[in-house]
Amino acid sequence: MMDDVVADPGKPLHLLLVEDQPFNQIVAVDTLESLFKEIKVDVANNGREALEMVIASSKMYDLILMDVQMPEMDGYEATVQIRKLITKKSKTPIMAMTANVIKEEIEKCFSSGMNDFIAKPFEPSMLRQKIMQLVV
Amino acid sequence: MSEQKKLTDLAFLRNLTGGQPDKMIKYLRMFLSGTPQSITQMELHALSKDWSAVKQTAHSIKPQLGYFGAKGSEDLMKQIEQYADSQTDNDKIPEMINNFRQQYETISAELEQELNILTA
Repeated sequence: MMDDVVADPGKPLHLLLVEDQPFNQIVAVDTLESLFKEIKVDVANNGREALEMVIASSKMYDLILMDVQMPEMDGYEATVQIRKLITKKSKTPIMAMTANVIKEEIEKCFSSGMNDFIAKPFEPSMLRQKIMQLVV
Repeated sequence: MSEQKKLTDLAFLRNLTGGQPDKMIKYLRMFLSGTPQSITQMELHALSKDWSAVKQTAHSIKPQLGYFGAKGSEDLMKQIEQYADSQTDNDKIPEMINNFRQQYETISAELEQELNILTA
């Protein structure tokens, strides 16, 4: 059974989920909402949309959950572009969500500027633990 | 249907959803309604030798199979993705997709059965 402890990072969380697949979007949003006491999740369908949403947002997201392989702009390129921003938004923690947990891909995640990664499909308790490490 | 021959295992899904039937039903329905179209798309991409699109489609199906514990099919999808990315093994892909279509018939039957139990 899923560990049913709802995490409380001490503040409402505002996350950006970047994921092109509707199934994965819905599972991720449901899971995040079950894991955290107060959370708002915005969804971008690809890296380009994510970049636009980061630039347009009035406040810095607490965390970006970034799929890696997506059409139009992938997660690596989106991360590189976000890290180039001249505002403090360039420091937004970014966690890759990848279905390919291989050494080369993980290295590529970190070299593009991501802070951490989680394998898809993800274990809820692992997702909660990794998010807490990045947002608290 | 013999337990040993099952291609799916809902243990991961139960953990993910905390065993909540409404969420399990939602995810099962989404997978069962969307995957046939994805398989057809992958077959059409392979026919037109659009290997990049084959790779993208296989990549999108792969984690969904993981949610339903279809490990063997998840591995097959990973292999299709790798072959679609290579320059030498593309000719093996149509047969692999055909194998997956056959596996999916069993997977969908198993998941429909689970869905019937959950909605009974």
